[in-house]
Amino acid sequence: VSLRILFWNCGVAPTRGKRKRGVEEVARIVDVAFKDGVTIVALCEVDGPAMSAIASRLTQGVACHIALTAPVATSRWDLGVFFRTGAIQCNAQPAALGKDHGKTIKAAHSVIVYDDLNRFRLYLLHWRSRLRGEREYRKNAAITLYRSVCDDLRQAVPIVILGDFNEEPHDPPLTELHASRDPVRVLKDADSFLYNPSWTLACPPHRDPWGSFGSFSYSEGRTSSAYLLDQALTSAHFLNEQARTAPTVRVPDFGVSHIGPSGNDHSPLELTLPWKTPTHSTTP
Amino acid sequence: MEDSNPFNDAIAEALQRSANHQAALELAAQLTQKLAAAVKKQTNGVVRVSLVTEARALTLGDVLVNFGIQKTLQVGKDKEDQQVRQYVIASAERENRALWALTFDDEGYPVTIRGPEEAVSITCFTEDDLRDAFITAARHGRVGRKIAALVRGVEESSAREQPTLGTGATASTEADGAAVSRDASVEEGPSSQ
Repeated sequence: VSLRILFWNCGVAPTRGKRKRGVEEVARIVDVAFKDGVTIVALCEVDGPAMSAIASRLTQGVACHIALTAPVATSRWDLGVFFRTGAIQCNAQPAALGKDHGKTIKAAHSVIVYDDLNRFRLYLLHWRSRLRGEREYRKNAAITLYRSVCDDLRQAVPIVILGDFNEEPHDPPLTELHASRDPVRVLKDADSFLYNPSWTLACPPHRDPWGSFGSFSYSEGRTSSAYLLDQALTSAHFLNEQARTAPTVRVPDFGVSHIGPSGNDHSPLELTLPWKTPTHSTTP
Repeated sequence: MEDSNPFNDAIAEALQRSANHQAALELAAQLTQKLAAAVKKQTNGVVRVSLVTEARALTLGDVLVNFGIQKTLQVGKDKEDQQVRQYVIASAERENRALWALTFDDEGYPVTIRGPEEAVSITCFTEDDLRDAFITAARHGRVGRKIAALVRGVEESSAREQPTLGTGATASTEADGAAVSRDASVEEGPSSQ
């Protein structure tokens, strides 16, 4: 009845800077996620060799993978997808690209995810770091991605976006994407608004003001100790007001806290989508 | 005395945005005309290229979609609304091909080119980016295949008519002449057949 997708900036092969962990550690986490029932694991800060190396270390036959790591302009994509063998199919799609004064904007890569009853376009993204500014770049990436999303919505293609936006839910690039925390609002303009269930993770839990929050821990400077940089957005196709169902998110551990650096690191973000199965089909 | 009408500034801003939008439209039209000239030259005038609005493009498919004439005023249905999404199309005799689609921002830029492959898009934030994207799109093999198919269609059509008419050369010349006489149009595009 549901489909679980994990997104994780695993830091195994960043395009800039040092890696945070090795393929063995990442493979262990991916394997744990699949054993826990996750169907898709999307990674960022990977390259082609890292994807292959992780795949070779997973429990045999558990998952197929697609590396979205092709070079573009002077850089490369750093994304990849593992998906549970036999559960769903994934096909790589063209990326959404922009050009600003000749510089390439890597807005998002995507795959089509489908089975016999369900089909959606999964956009994956990793926008440039806010540690280096780049706000204009991220804003233009949002504009570029939104153009592509609007084309999909015009053609009634359900959308899921997962990524390291390097922005929080209230920041302008997310508003540019018409990403709302309110499912009722999204249903009112289903052809132009996206639902952002990630808002619930943007602050400490209401029962524990000292509890952890966000998806990125940050230990430097006189600034917040955590940020919600990794988020999930969906189109209204996954909202059902009558059934009171909607996508949900959480930040599972899966053992990541034992292998990563103590600060300045991303946690995985898990999105759970309502999913049709044959027993729930309305087809006569 | 201070102007207290807030709509003066609002309308001034709207007109400036309109001017920016118009500039982007005009650049797309200029680029389309240059593309049309190159296609015309290399297909001996058989294939025409034009920029048409989405509503117009929808009437040019194999199945004619009759939108009719808008008899009542309706927000979102005016000519200016239709200009936001346009198509670069190639045409010959009774056939049309969509080469790529353009989406304009209300302030002109960014302009998004979708195509020549389905689901491939590039969003251009400056004039130079748009020029480069047009040239890149025009270079695509899918564009070449569509233009070649249109030329082939006209040739086959002419060949079929030859035995019946017994004046193949004349028929072919007429067909070519009809295409040549219709230069690349930007506003209207070819009429639906």
